[in-house]
Amino acid sequence: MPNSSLAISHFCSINNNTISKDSQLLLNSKASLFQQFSDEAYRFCKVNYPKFHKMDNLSKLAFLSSEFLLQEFPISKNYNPYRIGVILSNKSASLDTDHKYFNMVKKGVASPAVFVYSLPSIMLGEICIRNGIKGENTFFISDTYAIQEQVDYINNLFTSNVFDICIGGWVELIGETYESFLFLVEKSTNNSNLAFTSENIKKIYQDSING
Amino acid sequence: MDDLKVLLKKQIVEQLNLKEIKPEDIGDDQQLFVEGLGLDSIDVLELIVLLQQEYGIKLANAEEGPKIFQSINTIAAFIEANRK
Repeated sequence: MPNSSLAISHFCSINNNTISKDSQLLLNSKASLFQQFSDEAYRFCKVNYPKFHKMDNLSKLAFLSSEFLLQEFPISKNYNPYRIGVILSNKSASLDTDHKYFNMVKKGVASPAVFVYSLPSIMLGEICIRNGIKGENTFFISDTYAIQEQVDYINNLFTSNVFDICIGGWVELIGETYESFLFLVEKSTNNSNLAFTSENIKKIYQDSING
Repeated sequence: MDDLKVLLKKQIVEQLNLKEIKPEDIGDDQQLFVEGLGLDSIDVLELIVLLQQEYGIKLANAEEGPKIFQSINTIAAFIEANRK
């Protein structure tokens, strides 16, 4: 059931070498590989977070998306960290890193630093650690972005008084194919804000992937 | 021993993806964990793999880890004493 007091305050998308926030283009890169694109995006967002370089590509994509989404907004200072949620989903889970790890094991080398990223929920942990978030976080896997189900799930947690604010979205990466769409949903008394409904999420998601 | 330390610094920067640190910026006596270089528990495991791959040394007793991985000097001394 839609929660009429919830609004989408910001959204951010990363795909096809571009980064956009609230429909405004922030970066259009000419990089040919995700590795180059992510390095360029990291420099562009002007953060000093050396752990970024140790993340796998999926976590880098999620981290960059959350950095641009929350730019100039210290979320855990403005909200109770225990009442900030992160609910994400994708199609390929951590298969990109699973393949990498499997190929290493076949060669007789098992890197612990690669192994720790062989779960998709690690990207939630990276976002939570970076932003001091300690609330409920959940990761779902589905063939396509199940927007209605995600909106219902987030709505339910707000209705159950678990969240004051939540990051939701879709972060998919396999090889050189990647697509990220994150949004911030919070309680609102301002009617001019974009209401948190599956129709609105569908529209801004479709607009973001169509450029 | 000095050549070994130079090589070790290069290998550590590469193996641990320390992109914002140059090998020559790491002091021989600089603490590698917590405050020093800021390495973490996963990095320790990577260093154990590095010793195994590059120097054929298996760490028999994990409790020795904190002493061995204190600094470039302590790692180099351990390699000198144990490499085959």
